[in-house]
Amino acid sequence: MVRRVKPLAMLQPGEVGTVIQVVAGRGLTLRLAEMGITPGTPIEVVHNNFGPILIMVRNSRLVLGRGVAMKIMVEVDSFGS
Amino acid sequence: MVVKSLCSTCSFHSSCLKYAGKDSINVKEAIEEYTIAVAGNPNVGKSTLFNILTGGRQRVGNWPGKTVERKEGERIVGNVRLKFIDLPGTYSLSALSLEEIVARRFIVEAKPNAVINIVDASNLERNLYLTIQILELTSNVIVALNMMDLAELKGIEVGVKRLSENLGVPVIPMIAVRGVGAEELIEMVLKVAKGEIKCGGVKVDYGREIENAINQIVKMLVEGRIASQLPYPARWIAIRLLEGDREVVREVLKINDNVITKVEELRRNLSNALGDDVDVIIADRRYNFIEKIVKDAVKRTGVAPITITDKIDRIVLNRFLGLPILIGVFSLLFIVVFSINIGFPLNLLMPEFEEFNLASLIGDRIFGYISDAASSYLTSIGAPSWLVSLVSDGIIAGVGAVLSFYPLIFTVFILFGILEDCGYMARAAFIMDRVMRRFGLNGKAFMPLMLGYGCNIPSITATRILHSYRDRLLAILLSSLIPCQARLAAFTIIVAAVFASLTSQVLVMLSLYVLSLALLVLVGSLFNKAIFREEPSTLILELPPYHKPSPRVVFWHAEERSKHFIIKAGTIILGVSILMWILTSYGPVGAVSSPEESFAAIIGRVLSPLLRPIGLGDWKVVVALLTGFLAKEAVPESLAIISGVNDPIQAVRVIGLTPLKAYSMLIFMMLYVPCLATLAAIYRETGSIKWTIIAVAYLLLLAYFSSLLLFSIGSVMGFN
Repeated sequence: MVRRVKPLAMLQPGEVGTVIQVVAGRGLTLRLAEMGITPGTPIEVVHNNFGPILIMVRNSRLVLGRGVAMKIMVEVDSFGS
Repeated sequence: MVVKSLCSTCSFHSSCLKYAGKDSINVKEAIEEYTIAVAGNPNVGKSTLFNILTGGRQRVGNWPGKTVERKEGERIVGNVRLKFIDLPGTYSLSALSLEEIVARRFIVEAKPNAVINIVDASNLERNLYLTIQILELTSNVIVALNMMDLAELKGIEVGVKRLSENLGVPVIPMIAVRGVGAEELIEMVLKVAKGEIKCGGVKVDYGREIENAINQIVKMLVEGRIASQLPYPARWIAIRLLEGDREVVREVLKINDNVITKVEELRRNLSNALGDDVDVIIADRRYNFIEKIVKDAVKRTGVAPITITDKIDRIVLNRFLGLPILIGVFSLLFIVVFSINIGFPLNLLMPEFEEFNLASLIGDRIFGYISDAASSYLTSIGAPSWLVSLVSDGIIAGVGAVLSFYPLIFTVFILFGILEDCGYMARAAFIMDRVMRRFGLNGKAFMPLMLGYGCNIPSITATRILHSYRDRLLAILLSSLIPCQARLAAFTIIVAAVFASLTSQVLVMLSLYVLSLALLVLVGSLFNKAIFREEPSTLILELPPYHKPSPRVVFWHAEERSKHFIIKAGTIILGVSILMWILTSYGPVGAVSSPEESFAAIIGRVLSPLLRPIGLGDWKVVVALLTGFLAKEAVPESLAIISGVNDPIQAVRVIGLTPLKAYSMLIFMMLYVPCLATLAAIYRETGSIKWTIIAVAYLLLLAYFSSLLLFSIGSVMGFN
């Protein structure tokens, strides 16, 4: 299985992945962690057009600005590639 | 399971609930008072619950020194008074935002007798994060497990007893919108507050390495007598220090700085050993802990069906349909509001509706009647004629004219409240983010700005949902560009008086709204480039599931957002009315028969050269615009008082404004200075005289030059 790690913002709608790392300053990293985005967390991308991105994480819908979504590194699950 | 259970000794699930018998009121007993805090994430029904608990009677204010809303209410049960304090809706207690600081301080410093933590049963994982943090501070917690119906729909079955055992505190299942579970909750609150039930709470196991560090720090805190000087539990201080919580670090530093040096060392070691920042690991461990609890207590019946929320979102968030639907929703909202309030555009389609609109119905019929009644009553008891005139022409006419807009504003906020409470406003923030970034704001600023169409004051208060001061400041500066209902009402009168055909009236009104939007984008971009420069803060926003709006909450919001309007009518407008009456009825020679010789005329004539370049040199217009500094809705009424005519539309005609001058006046009125109450709100929310002055100055300049541009071009092109 090929490991495919990319920023969350690059995932297509419907793609599922696992958070590997959040590359951001302390405040933002903690804020995201407290919203449930910690390494190892599964994430599903629901909408990803031009603007912010909509994800499902820990059973809730979360909207993230593109800037933030670029800072979350995700390993994409292999199926559906 | 790592969960420690003290519930084996607690029997509330079987027998304790049979408590009601004690309620037989013993009036002679002294009243006991308990303070109960209500905490929870945003969008989990906290407002609804608070409304039920307090019976809708609540005092709203600010937390001392903070621009964070504080709600308070009470309930008498038997001989006990329960005082409820609504804590701001937060996802955690980490002191990352003002709201979190406020919530945390209250729990720690005010030591409420119990904390109700409302959680969304259909979204337990996210909600229990806050629960865990509250439980680290106090174990006098009752979990109100809300939205049981929604959870069931999603195929989530929560084992209430298991959950309660795992958390070590009582859990009460609820459907707050329908009031289900409220009685049980109140009973349980009473018992916890009175100490009849002692709850064990729960301790998260953070893993060997972190627990070791926590224990070392706790030891230092206890031995150094630091813990005893602070109002927090020692274990909590230790965890927060490891997380690098600035507030707690500061407080400990005040007492002893050795500890902090030690903690820093521990943090570095842990971080190296575990391969990530300690605060992130701690957050992660909390989530792991929650996962275990949820796994133990929650049964998912089959595969979660595709929810209604998903189905609706697929359409309203669609990349092509999203924006058109949003524009459609808000256009519809405005059409409804306008039709109810000023007849337009309904009266275009159905001429028989022309006479029906709330504003004139209340304004002319009701207040006209009151004014006549007051006048004949005063005359009949032999009151002097100046008093009769002051009361009926000054006060009742002035205050009445303003009060007649109240239903307008109320309707706007009811409709916005519905959109907000059902979950669509959060989607609007998502859809509008891309658009709003162009002028330096993020999508969350959309809702506050839209509220401005009702009234600018709640719009300014609502900017509190924005994360950074920079975003708030920009949103506040821009909010005044949005024509509120008061300005709309003033526009309608001038437009109706000056522009003959219905088509031209509609076009003029529409052009004003389009202009305001264009200026919003233009001014926003300018401010953004020239002053703020930084990017607007990034969007992090939870989209709640759609649900039926709660009438209680919608009404309460509308009342809250519009009530200052009534207060304003009773204070500022009353003052303006009396002042205007005096200024126009008296002159240097005493009582005057014609306003031409009054003080008002003198003031107006002095200032009129200033406004002549924009076509508004008539002293009557100048004086009316001056009253607009206090309240925009007072402008037409002032014109009426000055002209000595009863009907403002007549007054505008008597003054003889040409269409070009009227248009210039409309633009000027739309933009120049926020009204006095809005100005007070700007000062209150920015906390800065400098920014308040900047807001006034830029608006005055913008208004003057926009009108000047229009009037000059118009004159050159030969319009009049």
